[in-house]
Amino acid sequence: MAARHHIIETDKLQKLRFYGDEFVFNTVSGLCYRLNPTAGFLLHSLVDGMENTELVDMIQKRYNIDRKAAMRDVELLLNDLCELGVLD
Amino acid sequence: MSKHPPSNILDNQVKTVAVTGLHRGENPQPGAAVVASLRRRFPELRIVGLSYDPLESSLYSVYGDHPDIAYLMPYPGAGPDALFKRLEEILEKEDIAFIIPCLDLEIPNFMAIASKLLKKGVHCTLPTKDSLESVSKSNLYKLSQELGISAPRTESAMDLFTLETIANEIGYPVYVKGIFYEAHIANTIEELIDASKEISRVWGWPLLVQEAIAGEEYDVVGLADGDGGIIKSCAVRKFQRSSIGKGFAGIVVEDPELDRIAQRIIKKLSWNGPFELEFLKAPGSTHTLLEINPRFPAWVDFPSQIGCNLPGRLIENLTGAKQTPLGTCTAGQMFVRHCVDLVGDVSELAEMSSNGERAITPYKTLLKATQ
Repeated sequence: MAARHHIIETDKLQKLRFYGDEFVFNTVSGLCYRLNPTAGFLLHSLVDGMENTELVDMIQKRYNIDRKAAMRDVELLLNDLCELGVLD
Repeated sequence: MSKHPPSNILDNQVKTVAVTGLHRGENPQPGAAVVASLRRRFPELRIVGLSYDPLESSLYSVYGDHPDIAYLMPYPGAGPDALFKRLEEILEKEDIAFIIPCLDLEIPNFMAIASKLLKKGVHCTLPTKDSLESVSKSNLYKLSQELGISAPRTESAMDLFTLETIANEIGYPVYVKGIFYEAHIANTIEELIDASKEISRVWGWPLLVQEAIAGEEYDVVGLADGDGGIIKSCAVRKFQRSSIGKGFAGIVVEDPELDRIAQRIIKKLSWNGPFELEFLKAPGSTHTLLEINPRFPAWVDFPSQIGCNLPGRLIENLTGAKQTPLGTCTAGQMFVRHCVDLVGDVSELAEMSSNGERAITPYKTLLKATQ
């Protein structure tokens, strides 16, 4: 089963401008965010065109966790990014 | 009496420009920023400051944001006749061709005397009476409904009973606002009463009750052509606000939706000249229109510094001077307001207070020294 609740539209990701790995600026909302390493990694990966299922794979490998936990973490992180307006 | 020699820099046309709103304090007025922008485009332009107080801060500035001379003016409350009389006195000394009013409160006075000033060769940059009426705080909600734009519900009240009734209908918290200036949030009926007393003491009735909306503040400064078009604009998110809600830092945004809303508003009003649109927006929701200001804002020199000089273009258009291309402000460019201590002498205060005028020369001295 794949984490498919969030489908991030490409144009939403194109609004994001990164400064290093952990600082991102949304050019439409004008909001700036300091990201933790995991959020930064995930967001960079999304911008690079990675699918949600691939993200889960990468998180699972990178942090050596089981698939269910990786799916949950990706989903929660995407929730947070949406709520904070990063992906608004 | 011979007039002070005006500048001769606007493509060989002899012009002097007068500007109001010269105090850059806790609640910064736009005039000093307009002066700074004009000097960026026309370094030798003669600028006359129309000042309501001898302590207006830009009269003590050594930077490019001070006028060449300042004249003390009657307060806007004195009315249009007092304003015209004082301007007549000033026009005996100054060859003013254009006045850029920068304060909301004085604009009705300037509108009332605009035709008389024009007969004396002085042009004011003003919106039409109808468009100004449409953007008044009490009419803005109606305008936004006509345009299908989100806006906080706002009602006018002539007495405390009506104010309380409307606040109950809207639901707390609400903002209590003066017709021109000042706003207080009220979470309870007691706070509503306190706020109404405080604001009405200074600004009188009616007061406005406005639904409280949460969100980030977005502002658009622009120059409109009078035919429904925007010559150029710059949109920012205000991201640092003072204790009284004034934006002390802003960052340029590129939001097509915000641009579309601005265009619809300006088209509907056939707005002429400078404007500032103020919005609030929470993540995931639409922009809510808070205010339309019929003038340049205090942050107008920010776009000027990054290649979009709107006051400069206004004077270019009025004089027919060569137009400098207006650049597009790019997302991520930002400003932070910086307060400094200006040095003065009591003799300067005395001169302005006693004579009602004072020449201010540091910028021109600096300009000559560097030429």
